Amino acid sequence: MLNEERQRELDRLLDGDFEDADRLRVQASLEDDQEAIDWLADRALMHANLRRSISRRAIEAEVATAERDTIVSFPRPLIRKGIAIAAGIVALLALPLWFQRSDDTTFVTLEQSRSALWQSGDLPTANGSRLGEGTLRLVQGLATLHFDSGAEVILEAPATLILTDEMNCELTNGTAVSDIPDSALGFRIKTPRADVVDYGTRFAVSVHEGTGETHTQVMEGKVQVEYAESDRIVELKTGQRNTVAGESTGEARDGAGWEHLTAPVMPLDFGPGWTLLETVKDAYTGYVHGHNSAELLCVKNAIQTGLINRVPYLGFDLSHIDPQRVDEAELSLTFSPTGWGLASSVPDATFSIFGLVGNVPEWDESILHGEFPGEPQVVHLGSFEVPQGVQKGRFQVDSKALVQFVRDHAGTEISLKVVRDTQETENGGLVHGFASRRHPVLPAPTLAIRLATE
Amino acid sequence: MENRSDTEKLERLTRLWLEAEPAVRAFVFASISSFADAEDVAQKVALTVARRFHEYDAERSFQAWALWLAKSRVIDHYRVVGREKLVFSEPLLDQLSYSLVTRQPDQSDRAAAMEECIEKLPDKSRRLLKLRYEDGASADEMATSLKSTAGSIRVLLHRVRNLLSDCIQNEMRKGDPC
Repeated sequence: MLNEERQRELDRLLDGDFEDADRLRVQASLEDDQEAIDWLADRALMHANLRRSISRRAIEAEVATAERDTIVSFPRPLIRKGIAIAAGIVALLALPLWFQRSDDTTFVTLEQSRSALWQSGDLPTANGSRLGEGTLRLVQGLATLHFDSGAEVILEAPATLILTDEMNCELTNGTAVSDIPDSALGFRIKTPRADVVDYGTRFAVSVHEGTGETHTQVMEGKVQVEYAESDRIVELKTGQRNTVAGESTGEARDGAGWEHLTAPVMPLDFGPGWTLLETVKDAYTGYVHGHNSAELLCVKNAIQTGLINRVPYLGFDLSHIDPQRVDEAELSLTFSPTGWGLASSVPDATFSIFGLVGNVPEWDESILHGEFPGEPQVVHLGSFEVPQGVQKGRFQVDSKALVQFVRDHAGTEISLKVVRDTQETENGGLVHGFASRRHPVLPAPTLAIRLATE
Repeated sequence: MENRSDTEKLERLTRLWLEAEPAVRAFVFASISSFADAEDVAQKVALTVARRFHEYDAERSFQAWALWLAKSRVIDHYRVVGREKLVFSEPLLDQLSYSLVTRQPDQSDRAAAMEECIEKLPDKSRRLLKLRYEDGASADEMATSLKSTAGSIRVLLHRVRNLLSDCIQNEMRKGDPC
């Protein structure tokens, strides 16, 4: 039996009566407390019944009053309550209507395009699947959806799209690029901040998760952006774009071809006193036909030997760094999925950073996908671990050895080598990757150096 | 024109839904604090269940299937309104869903018993429930309305719910032939 205090705490959780910190604390406390979950389930049943019962009583009372006073028109609050209650009843009554329409309630065909990886949605994700109402969560890659209305939508990961019917869908995060023929005029993509309605065109919509910031760009044709929080409508024509962010509903602006940020990235933030150096050259050795990337530096430790193993090299220019002033140093790598290999075949993985020493051969980015010239000596500068299945995020090394290496080589150009110490357990294991200096959005490998004041 | 097979399926869906609906509604109302939002989501779940009934595998529990669809609608809602409105994490939604599947099957009798029990409550308690469940008032708003403090209101509301819970148990026992 739960004690009184715990029960009151759970009642407050049901009532939405906690500030963020307390709510998170109670949430965390529930995770290993089955008794509390069961109590909460019983309470939730009563909570939902009470809402229905008390609301119904209110309506009955007001209807009785209205009949007694022979008032013909219902007062507005009553209408609102009536709608809320009726909604539940209508939902139930609607069952037969939907049911009688047809057994086939699908309206979209899914055609997978590139490296599509899906997360727990409630729809099938096999190539060629017919889809009805439900949610698609694309973690990685691209997927093309053909609506029966004729609309074609390409979903770019990471993205969540709720399919409503053949003329409507809801994009809660990510990017959707749409091609709308005449048969689908009026096709609507709803976002948290706006509805984008198409009038025969090709256009793209991007939504940032959390903020709901919505970017619309029209490559061809005409689109209307209808704002959720006001009656305002902005019309966009070929070549125009619009951004809904914060309190701003935005205007129609020229420049649909401009790149815009489709997935916000937190910038590297080291306080004052730090100098941030990005790679002046970076590349990886190793190559598998069709599995390569110019934007990501791939890393793999395979069971097989040879070029399937990928090893990145990073070059930093320390020519302006005074060795006497180097206090701290930290190397940051921003990981991103490569889309290749099975994460289940690579356990928690240790990565090591080595500095190239001795007679270091000249190298440039032409080694990309090839071999490193020569076999220079290396010194171990530090390691970090990437848990199994994790393919995104920032990982750092900030060891004393790295500080000493920077001090020893300040005033010159240095070369670092990144190795995944952990080998795959089966062939076909995951290829890890982190952003190179060519990545359009993610930060390049960055060496942050804190310099003592002169 | 509706044929016999459709009629049978419709009757089956209606029967299954009436059994599952209390748990689905409880799941949604526990996961979403705003009554208006919870009602919208509960309605969406009902429509989704109807539209996708042809996918339901009769070998599985209908209630578990409906709760699975409800979980997806709740997560969609969290994504739309922002994570700051999140009441439960995804693993907790699973735990709550599992617990609801194992609750008492006699929910319609319990709802009927609750109607009796509300009638037995003192006026002040019914007023409190009206403020909370009809107007959707917060503890602070109820405190202002009843010239009390939020802390006292929380304690009082908790006691009223416990009284109701005990009363429902007693009413259910009365109806039990054993």
